[in-house]
Amino acid sequence: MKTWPVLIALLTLLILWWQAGHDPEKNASVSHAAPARPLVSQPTAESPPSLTEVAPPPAGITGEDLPRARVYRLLADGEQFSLQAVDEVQGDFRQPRAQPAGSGVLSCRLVSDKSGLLASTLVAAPVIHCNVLDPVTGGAVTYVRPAPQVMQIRLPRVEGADRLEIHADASTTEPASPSRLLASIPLDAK
Amino acid sequence: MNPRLISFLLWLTVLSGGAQSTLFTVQNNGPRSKRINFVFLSEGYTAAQLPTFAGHVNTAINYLFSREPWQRYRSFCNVFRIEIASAQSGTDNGSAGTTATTYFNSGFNTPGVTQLLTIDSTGQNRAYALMNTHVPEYDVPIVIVNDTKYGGSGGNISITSTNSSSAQIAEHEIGHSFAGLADEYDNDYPGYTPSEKPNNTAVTSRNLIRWRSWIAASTPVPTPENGAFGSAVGLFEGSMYRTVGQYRPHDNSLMRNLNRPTGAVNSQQFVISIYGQVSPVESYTPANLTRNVTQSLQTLEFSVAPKIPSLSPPLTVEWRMDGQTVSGATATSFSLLSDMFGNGSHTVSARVKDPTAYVRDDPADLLGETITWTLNLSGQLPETLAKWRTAYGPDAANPTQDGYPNLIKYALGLNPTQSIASNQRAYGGTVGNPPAMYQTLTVPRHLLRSDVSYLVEVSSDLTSWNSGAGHTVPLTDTSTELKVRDATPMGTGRRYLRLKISAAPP
Repeated sequence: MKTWPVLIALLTLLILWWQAGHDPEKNASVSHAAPARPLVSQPTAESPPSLTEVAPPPAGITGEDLPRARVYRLLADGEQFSLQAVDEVQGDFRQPRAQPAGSGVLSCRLVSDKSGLLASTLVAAPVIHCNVLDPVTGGAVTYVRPAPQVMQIRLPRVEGADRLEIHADASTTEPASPSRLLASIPLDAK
Repeated sequence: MNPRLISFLLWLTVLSGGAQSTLFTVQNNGPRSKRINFVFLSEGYTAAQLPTFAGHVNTAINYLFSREPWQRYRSFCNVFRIEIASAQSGTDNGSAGTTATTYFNSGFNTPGVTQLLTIDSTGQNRAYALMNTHVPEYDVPIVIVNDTKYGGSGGNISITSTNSSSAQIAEHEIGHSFAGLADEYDNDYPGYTPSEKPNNTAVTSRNLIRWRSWIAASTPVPTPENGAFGSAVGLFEGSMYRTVGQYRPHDNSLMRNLNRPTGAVNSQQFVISIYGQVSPVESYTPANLTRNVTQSLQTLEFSVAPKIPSLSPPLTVEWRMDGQTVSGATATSFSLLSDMFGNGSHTVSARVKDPTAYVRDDPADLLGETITWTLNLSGQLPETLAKWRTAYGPDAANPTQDGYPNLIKYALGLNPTQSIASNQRAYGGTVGNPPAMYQTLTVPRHLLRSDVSYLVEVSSDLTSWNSGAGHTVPLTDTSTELKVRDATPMGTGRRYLRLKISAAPP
């Protein structure tokens, strides 16, 4: 194993740490024992980048107090979905005051092996790429099918989740219509 | 810190095999759970170029927060930037016309549209991984690509270049990714399926148009594009990649062209989207929404802290007791005596609302929030005279022999089983200066009862008593104090004032 890259990285971190106290813009949390946010990374396309510093928790809240959640990263290709990664995150999360509504809403559900609903959330489906107009020519461009997009779904950490179901949810449209199962993605039990 | 030193260190780190990311707080206005969190990510910046990223971010946010309605809501937002170096500068098919090895694999002309600037799924995965690490509470992710060629794209992650129009592009793309706005383009793209959006509709009946509250009665529907309605809200044909059959609310807004006004309907949607995430109430006390009170004459205090917009008008506060609005109670704090309710379960609530003119349609009441405290009261003084009489006997009874009979103590909110204290008594005074100097009578009271009348009367002989115009002048009349002065100045002979309490007729 080569040791010089590690030594250089350590040296870099040491100097950055020393210098951070002289840089007023940078977060003052370099030496904080802040929570290590990426707790688990399941089948991920690649290793996450190395971490040099993390954001401080909100005032009055210690890192350990922050809620934890699980994010499921999906590749959405039209109405087909594939799991890219599962990350555990910890943060100062909020409950949205309004759910997405109208067309293009997905209902994402964690389901047990006995089809029991464990957790769910509504998210807006990945939107079509906007083709930015050319401000000079007026920008008539040719429509092309959008490329697959990655989306993230944050759900509570629950025991016994067997699969992640993605439904096209039309309950908020007018007129409302039943949801339609688009994908049922098995989850690693570990 | 010396930028050259930073660049050198980052370069060393990249060489050593791992891309390092660094989080910077650009604008911190509060807890992430109570703010809209913007996150900018660097793309196509070499380690040596990373110091320029901060300037590009500042340009974008300074522009955004100079625009409606973001000007007003800047204080509702946090801004972060995540710096990560790319191996090479620029992007694929950028201004250099070549390919570049960059962290998020961005590129123009993908898939086949010249100004469409995107990052591929690998790059999107990397962006999400970075945000999960640094700002998992992200709301508005934006990748800035270090290339001056014009372009960008919407989607869950907005992309823009460093072209001189990049700030405007970012604003436009945030319209998609954060507010769910449609493009108001009327270029016809066969194969594209329009849908109902906050700023797009196929509906042409005036009474059914989603943004009808913004359309003046004098504006025709559909609305001609002849310039006469250029700044009006109407129903302009051609929207969401359709020349006909789809309609937009503005002739030419930012969702159609850069450097254009936001548009009233789009502004409304931005504000609705902000309040769809964060509450107008920043905090409140007491934090416990249920309170048990077992002793009488307890002062109960409540307060709310509305969010403070960067521009006026401020958010409004209204207090309610058992659902009834308390006249004049619009401060951020409110207090009352527990006996004002009597025994039982009662509520005190504070309603906070954003009075902004940006929003006319808020069916879900996102711009308002009501905090309600439930009070479980026992051992309180009776809240009506009828109950008081049942509990303590006739109005003239004075069980404590202090000269203040039951009716007076009821009216003043005093405990009939205790002698009146010196600071609970009415007292005389003066106001003004000679020759316009008057006697006053001040009556402290704990409660303002609705089933008795409070009357201050004046007399010169202790026989004939008068009140009202020409005789008395009210100075204060609140729930805690009644203060009245004589209408006749001092120095004209003896003058007397008294308080008369009468039970209101049933």
